[in-house]
Amino acid sequence: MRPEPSHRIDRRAIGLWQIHGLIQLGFIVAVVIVGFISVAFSAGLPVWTAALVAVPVLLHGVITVFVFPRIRWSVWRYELDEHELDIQHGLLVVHRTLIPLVRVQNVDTVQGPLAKLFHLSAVTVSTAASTHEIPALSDDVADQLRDKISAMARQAREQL
Amino acid sequence: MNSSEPVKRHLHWVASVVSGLRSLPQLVPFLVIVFLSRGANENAIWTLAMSLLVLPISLAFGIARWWRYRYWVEDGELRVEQGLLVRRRVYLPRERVQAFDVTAGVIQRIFGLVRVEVKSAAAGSQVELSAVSRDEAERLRVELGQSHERGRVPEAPSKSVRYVMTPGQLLLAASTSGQIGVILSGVAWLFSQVEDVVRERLIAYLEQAEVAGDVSRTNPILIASLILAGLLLAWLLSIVGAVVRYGGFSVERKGEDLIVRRGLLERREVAIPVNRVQAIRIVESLARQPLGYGALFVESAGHAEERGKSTYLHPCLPRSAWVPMMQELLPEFAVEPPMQRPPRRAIVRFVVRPILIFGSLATLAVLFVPYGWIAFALPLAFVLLGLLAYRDTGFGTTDQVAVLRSRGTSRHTALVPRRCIQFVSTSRSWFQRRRRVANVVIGAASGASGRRFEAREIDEDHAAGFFDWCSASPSAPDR
Repeated sequence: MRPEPSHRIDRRAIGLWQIHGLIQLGFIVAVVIVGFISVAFSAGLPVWTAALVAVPVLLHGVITVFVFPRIRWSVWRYELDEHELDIQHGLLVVHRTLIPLVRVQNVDTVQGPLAKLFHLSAVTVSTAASTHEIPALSDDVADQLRDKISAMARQAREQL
Repeated sequence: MNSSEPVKRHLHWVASVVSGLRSLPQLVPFLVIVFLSRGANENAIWTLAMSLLVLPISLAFGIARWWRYRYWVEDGELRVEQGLLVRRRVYLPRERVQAFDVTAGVIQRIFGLVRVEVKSAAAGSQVELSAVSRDEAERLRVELGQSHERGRVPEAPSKSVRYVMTPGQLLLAASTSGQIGVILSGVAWLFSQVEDVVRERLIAYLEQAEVAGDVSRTNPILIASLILAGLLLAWLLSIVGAVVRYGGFSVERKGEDLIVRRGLLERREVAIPVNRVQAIRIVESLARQPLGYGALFVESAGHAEERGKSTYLHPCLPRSAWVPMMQELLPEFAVEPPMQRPPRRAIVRFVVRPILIFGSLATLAVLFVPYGWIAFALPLAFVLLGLLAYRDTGFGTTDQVAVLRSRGTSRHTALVPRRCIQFVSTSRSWFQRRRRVANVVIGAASGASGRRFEAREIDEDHAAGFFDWCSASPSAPDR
């Protein structure tokens, strides 16, 4: 196998994903609290049963906020050469994807509201069969990468 | 455009009948009102007359719509004007035409006409000419640059190879079509409607035949025979359905197009430019594989017979005929590379999931359900399927074509030329890394989106080799 791609994504991705995780956790906690209160009142459950629900929710929260973003960031790599874009990502399952530049149909940058605060953008690369995303690059890097992929894709097509 | 003065044309008048019949469902509310108001007016003849009124109304609509519908070719565009109250114009430039499909429904066939569907890549921008003569369809095909011969000399000595499905293949295809599940639910519904009648009859019959002394409503023989009768009925219906669908199937290569025709009542004709073919997919269902038969599909870019469905290259062809047929129709795909199979150490990966998931379910069943041990048939069946998947999975490569094989319930084989691979991907979970295996996936364009082909639990090094094979960099001669 060819060597691992060399470029990492921006380190601020961890912070971004942590906030995403916190927001998600907030939703889950709200739903669980409302659900528990309505069930516990009608069924007359003792208060300590709340712990049975709270512990797994908090555990899940700790993992999604403090563990996963770091792992995900450290796995994420990409590399662009004159023929293809090479991407590695994943958490428990590590994916390695190769996209021949000749097949690239369009390249975009995308920025969500949260990512905007961090000055981070994602680059999406579409082929006739799929769309691939490199998340969380600093705005400048994302713009450069988008232009570079798009130019090289055009070049690769012309060489055919 | 060589034609100087564009003539705005009407469709064949039969189109008004087609259009009228299509508007019938819209008149259902009218019928409902008629039947509901029957309570006040007990006269049956009046009701019948009122409901028959639906026919002239819809026919009038059809004629009006036909009158307002005009089409013509101007400046290399297919232009259509239509609409009763709101005039709508559709302009379809010929460069955007992705598909030019000729079909014929029952009505069209009675009058020797065809229906033409001109599709473009943009969603929703398609034109349907519901009834035109064959000559007219051919003229349009030429004018829109969609001729079978791509503008070259027509009827040149281009050898045309034609595969017609034999009656034997049709019968086999129909009896193993796998549509039985769908129909079974229909039959089950039917049975639930007539259950009581059938039961009474059967009980009477069984009593008469003195099969069982005590014939009750829960007699196992009664239930079993009902189930058996239902299965048989569903199977027969599925055969009829499949014969109607696949009947008269043929595929031929005409110049640079593949032309697929099928359908007993409704004729469908699809022309696929050979250079748009992205992959060939072969599906061998559990029923067909032991008999050595499989269904072949063409995946093509920007075109599909129906959304999410690929076009048949052949509904049921014996394995020995695949390569010879490819040689004549699509020589690029006439390959049979040796397959790399998953290593022995990967066997456990094919059976561990069914054992864990269905095993625990079956254990629960034993604990809580009478006769729960029957549920153990489920993990057993899935373990067997897993072992079959282990035996069938694999991939192979020639110079230019990759072959990937996998099994869910059916065995799927995909042939994808390197130049059509949109992306290649390997994935390894923690468990897979421990066993040094990986999954490989490739993507090919198909219809409006794409299709993914997979081979699971391949040896790490083989997967890496395949990854590199797909990469363009090592001076691989393209095409």
